[in-house]
Amino acid sequence: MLHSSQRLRAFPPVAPSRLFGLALLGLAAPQALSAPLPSAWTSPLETATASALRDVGPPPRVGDMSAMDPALVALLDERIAAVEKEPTSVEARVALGFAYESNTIWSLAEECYSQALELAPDENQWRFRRGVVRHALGEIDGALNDLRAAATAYKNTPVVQARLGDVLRLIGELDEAEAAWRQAIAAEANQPQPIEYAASRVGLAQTLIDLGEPAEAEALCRRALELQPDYKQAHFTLGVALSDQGRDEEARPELVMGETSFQQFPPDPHGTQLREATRGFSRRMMLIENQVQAGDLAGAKQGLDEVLKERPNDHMVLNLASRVLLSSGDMEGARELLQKSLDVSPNEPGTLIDACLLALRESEAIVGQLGQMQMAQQQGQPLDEARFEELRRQGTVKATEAVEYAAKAVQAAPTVGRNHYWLGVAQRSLAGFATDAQAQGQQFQAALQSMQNALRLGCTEPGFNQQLAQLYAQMGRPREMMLHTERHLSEFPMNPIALQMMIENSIRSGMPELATAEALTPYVERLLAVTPGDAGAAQFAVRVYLTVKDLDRAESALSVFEKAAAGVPQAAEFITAVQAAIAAERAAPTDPDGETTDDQTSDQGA
Amino acid sequence: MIHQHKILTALLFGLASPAPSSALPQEGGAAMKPWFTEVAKEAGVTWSHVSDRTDRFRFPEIMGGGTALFDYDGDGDLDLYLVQGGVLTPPPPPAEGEAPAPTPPGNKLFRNDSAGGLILFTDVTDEAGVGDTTYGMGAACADFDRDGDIDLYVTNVGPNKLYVNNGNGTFTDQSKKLKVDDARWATSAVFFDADGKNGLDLYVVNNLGWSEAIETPCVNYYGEPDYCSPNNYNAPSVDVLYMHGRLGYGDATIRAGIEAGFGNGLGVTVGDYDNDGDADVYVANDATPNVLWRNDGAGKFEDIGLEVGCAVNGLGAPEAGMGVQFIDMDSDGHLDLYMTHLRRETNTFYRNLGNGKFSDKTNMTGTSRASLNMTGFGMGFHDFDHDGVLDLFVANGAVQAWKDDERFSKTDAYAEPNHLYRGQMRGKNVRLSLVQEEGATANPVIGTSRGAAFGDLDGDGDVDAVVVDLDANVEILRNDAPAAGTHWVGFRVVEEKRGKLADVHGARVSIAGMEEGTRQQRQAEPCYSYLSSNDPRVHFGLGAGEMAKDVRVRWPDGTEQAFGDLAAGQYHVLKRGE
Repeated sequence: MLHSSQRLRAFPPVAPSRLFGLALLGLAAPQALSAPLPSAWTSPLETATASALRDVGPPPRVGDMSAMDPALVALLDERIAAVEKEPTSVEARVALGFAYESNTIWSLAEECYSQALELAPDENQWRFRRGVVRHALGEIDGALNDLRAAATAYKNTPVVQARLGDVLRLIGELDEAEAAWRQAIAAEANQPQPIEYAASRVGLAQTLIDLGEPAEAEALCRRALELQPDYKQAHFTLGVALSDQGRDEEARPELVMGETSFQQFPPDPHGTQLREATRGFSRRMMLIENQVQAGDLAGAKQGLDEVLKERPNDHMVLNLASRVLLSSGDMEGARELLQKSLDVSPNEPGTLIDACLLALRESEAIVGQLGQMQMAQQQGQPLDEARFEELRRQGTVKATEAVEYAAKAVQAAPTVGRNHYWLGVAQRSLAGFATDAQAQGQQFQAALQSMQNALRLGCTEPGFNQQLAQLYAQMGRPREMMLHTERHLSEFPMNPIALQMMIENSIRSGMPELATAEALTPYVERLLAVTPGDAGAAQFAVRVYLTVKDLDRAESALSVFEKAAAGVPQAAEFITAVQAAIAAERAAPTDPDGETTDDQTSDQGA
Repeated sequence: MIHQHKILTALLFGLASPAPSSALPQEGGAAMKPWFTEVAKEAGVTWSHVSDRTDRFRFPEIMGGGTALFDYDGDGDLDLYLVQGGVLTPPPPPAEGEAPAPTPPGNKLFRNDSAGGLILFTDVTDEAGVGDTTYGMGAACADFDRDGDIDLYVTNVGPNKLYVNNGNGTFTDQSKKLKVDDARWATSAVFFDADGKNGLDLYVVNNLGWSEAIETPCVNYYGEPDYCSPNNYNAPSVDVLYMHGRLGYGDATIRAGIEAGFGNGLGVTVGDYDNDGDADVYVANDATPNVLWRNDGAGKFEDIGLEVGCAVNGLGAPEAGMGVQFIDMDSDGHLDLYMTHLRRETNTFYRNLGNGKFSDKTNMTGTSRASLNMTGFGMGFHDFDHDGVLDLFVANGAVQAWKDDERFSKTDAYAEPNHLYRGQMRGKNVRLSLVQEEGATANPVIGTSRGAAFGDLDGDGDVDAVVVDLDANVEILRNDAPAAGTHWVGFRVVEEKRGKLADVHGARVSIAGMEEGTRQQRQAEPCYSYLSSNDPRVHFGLGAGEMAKDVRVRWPDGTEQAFGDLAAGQYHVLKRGE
C-alpha cells in the first residue's frame, strides 16, 4: 500500500523558493555535467558579423519595471544600453536575450533572439534558443519550427535533439520524437570525448513507453540510473515501464522514489551565460536552495553570505543561513543567525520552528553524551554522577526551549500541521530527560496529542511516521506502532533504516503473525539488496533469523556476513558464536508441537 | 481601495472585451457560428464575485469562487447558486462608539424563471435563507437526507455550511447541529455513498492550512510581488470524510483511512473507476500529488494514485490540479480522468486502461498546445453541438499576472480567455481541437475565470454554462451551438427512497453509439469541474439520430437495467426497478 501524498515528505525540508513554480520547469534543476561546447558552437559569436547595417528595431523592454527586483532592473538597463550603443551587434542582442530568458521573461527573450536572427539568419544557435523560449511560452508551432531547424543544423548537439524530442512528445508526434531522442543519444557518442547523459535515456524511455515499448524503456532507465543514481525521473520512468509490463511489485519502490520528479536535459552550451545572467533575490535564493538540496553547503554558504550583505534583516535568508550552518555542524554560528532572525520577526512561525530544530539538535548532542557515559559505565567504568546530572539538566533546558519555540509556532499558526509535529517531537525529546515515570508518561501523552493534531491537519515532514512509530513503541501501543512503521516504510521502501525499523518493530510488536521468517524475509532480503557488502546489515540479518529461529536462513545470512566482514577482527568471534548457537538450537530436543524446549532468543553470546 | 478601483475601471471600460462578432475564426481558418452567447444581464443576474484582493497577495484571494446548478424548489428546472468571496479576514469587533463594519457581500440563490426561450432568474436569497457571508469557495448539492429535496453544502475559508432544504423554498443551517462545520480552508466537496448505507456521505477537500500568519512574500516570473505557489507555505492539509448514519453525520476521516493522505486540495470528483460496484474518490491537489481513494465497498479507503498512474503526470511531476472530471472519453466502459492545470503545464488526461491502472495520454488528446499557455480551472465535457461527440469547455484565469502586451485584458492582469475544444472521433478516441480561443462565445468576456457549472438552463435540450470570474459579473453562457437537424436526449436517473424519488449519483447511462457495435456512456454525477455542482441529469447529443437506442443504466452497485429505445428531444426519467 502506497500513500502517494505522503511521498511529498521525501522532499528535502528546506524552505521552498519564493519563486513560483520555477522548479517545475527544470530550469533550476542541477545539471549533471558541464557540457563541452559542440564543435559548431566552440566560438559561438565568431560568425556574429554585422550582416548588414539593418535596423532590426529597438531592444525589447519590460513596460513597467518599477516593481521588479533592482538587481534585475540594473542588469536589463545595462544590456539594453549595450544594444542601443551597438544596434547591429548580435552579441549585444543575445546577451539581452540571455538576461530575459534566464529571468523567465520569455516573451522578450523571444524578441531578442528574433532580432539576432534578423542580423545573422544562419546562426541556428539563436534559432535553438528561440525554440526553447517559445516552448516555455506555449507557442508550440513556433517552437517546433525553430527546434526542427536547429536539430537539422546541430545533429551532434545532444540538448538540441533532446529539446526537439520533448516538444514532439508533448504533442503526440511520437515517431519523430523517438527519432530525435535517439539522435540525442547518438550525438553523445559522437562527441570528441564520447559521453552518456541520463536525461537523454530517460527522454527516449518516456517516448518508448508512449509507443508501447516498456521493455526497452526499462533498459534505458536502468542505464540512466547507473549514470546518475539520484535522478528521480529515471526512477519514476522505470517504475512506469515496470508497471506497464505488469511487474507491479518491482514498480512500486521505483515510483515512490521518483514521485515529484522533474525533467532534466543534457547540458546546454549556453548554460554559463544563462546562469551568470540570473538576477534577482528570489532566483538567487532558489539557486542557493538547490545547492543545499544537492549537498553543496560550502557553495550555499558563500551565496548566503553575499545575500546577507544586501539583506541583513531578511528572516528567510537568516533562517536558511542558520540551517546551512547547522548542517555543517556549526551550532554556534547557527544559533547566532537564528537569534538575529528572532529579533527581527519574533512571531514568525517558520523562524520559531527553526529555533526549535536548533534546540532539538543541541539536546540530541547532549543525549549522545549521556549515552556514551552510560555505555562506559556498562563496560565497567565508574560514572561521574555530577557530570551526568549536569548534562541531564542542560538537556532538559534545551528540550524545554525546543518545546517553547514550537508552542509559540503553534499559537501563531495553529492550522499548520508541521508546527504541531515539531511540538510533538520536542515534547517527546523532553520526555527522554524526565526523572520519573509519571512525568515521562505525561510528556509522552502531550507529544502524542501534538502528533495527532499534525496527523489530522496534514504534515510533510519526512520523519513523521517514524517519529509516531517510535512514540507508540515507547507508549506500549504496538498496533499503532506497526501502522506507522508500515507507512514510514511505504514512503522510503529502499531506506535501510526504515527496513530495519520495520523488522525490529515487527518482532517487538508481540503480534506473532508479523514475527515469522516468512513475514520478515522480504524485508531482510530487500535490506541486504540495498546494502551490498555491508557487514552491519548482514549481521543484523543473522540476528533476525536467529530470533525467529529460522536456522537455515541464519546460516545463509552468516555466509553473507562472512564475505562482507572479511578482515574485520571481531568477525571471526561473531561467526563462531553464531555457529555454536545454531548447533545448539538444532541439537535441542523438540516437543510434540514442534517447539524447541528453549523458546528464548538464541543469539545470546553472538 | 485597490479592489474597488479595479471594479470601477472594469465597469467604465467594459473589461476590454472585443465587439460581438457574428462569426468566429477557428483553427484552420474557416469561420463558424459562435457556440455561446453571454446573457447574464438579460437573465437578471447582475452579481459580481468579490475576491478581497489586496497588495498583500493572500493566497485564498486568487482561488475562489464556485457555483451550483440545482433544482432547489423541485419545479423541474435548474436554479443558480453563486458562492461569494467577500471579506477574507473579518475585522475585529468595533470599539465602543465605533460603527460596525459593513456586512460583507454574501452568496446568492437565483430561482430559474426561464420561459419562452429566454433564460431568466430571480434573486430569492433572503427568503431562502442561504446568503452566507463567510468567505466562500464552492458548493455541493444532493438530497443527503433522502427527504425528496436537494440540500446545499457550502465550503468556506472558515466554518463550512450545510443548508438543509425544508421543502418549501427555505433552508435551515444545520452545520453545527450535524457537526459538518469544519473551519479550515475547504474548497470542493461531494456528496456520495461511501458505504452503501443510510443517506449520502460527504467528502470535503481542504486546501493548505492557511492563516494570515503564514503568508509570505513571493514574486512572479518578472520578479514582481505576486501570489505564491502553495508549496511556499509547506502546510498541506488532510481532507474530511463525514459518514451519514442514523443520527446524522460523524467524522469518519481516521477510521476510513483518509488521514493517511494530504495535499493542497482543490478539486474532487467521484466515480467507480474500477467497476467494482462502489464509489471511489479522486482529489486534485495543487502542486502535490493527486489522490485516488479506492473504496473497499464498506467505506474504507486506500490511496492508490501513485501505483495506478494518476497521482502525478507521466513525467513524475505533480501538477497544479484544479478542475477535474471522470469521463469515459474512449467509450470503453471505463472512467477516464481529465484535469485542468497551471500555465506552462498542460491539462492532463489519464486514460483508464481497464486493468485498474491509468496512463497519462495527454499528448493524444489534442489539448496540449492550447492548454500550455493558460491556467485552467472549471471544466466540463459535454456534447455542446449535438454531433454525437464530446466537446470540452475550460474556464481559464491566471494565478500570476500577465505582463504588458501579453495581457488579454487592459484592466485585469490575470484575465484569460476561456477555451472551447470541439471533439472529433479518431478511431475510438475523441480528439479535441481548439475551436476558438475566446470560448466560442459571441460576446466573449475575458475574465479571471474560476468555477464553471454546466446544465440546461432554458430547457431547450442543450447544455449551457455558468462561469464565475473573480471581481467581475458572473457569465451565463447560453448554448446556441446545435445545428438544425441535430438531436439530443436527456435522462434523469432516480430511485425511490422512503417514498421519494432521489437522483442516483454515480449511475451510468449508456446508449448505442453512432457507429455500429459502439456505445456511449455518461455518468450521472453533479460533482466535477472546480468548486462547482452541475446538472445531475445525463445528456447525449445524437447527431442526426432521432432515437436513443438500447438505453441501459449501470447502477452504482454494478447491476444493470435496460430501458430500450427512447425518443430524442426530451428528458426521460430512468427509475430503478421500473
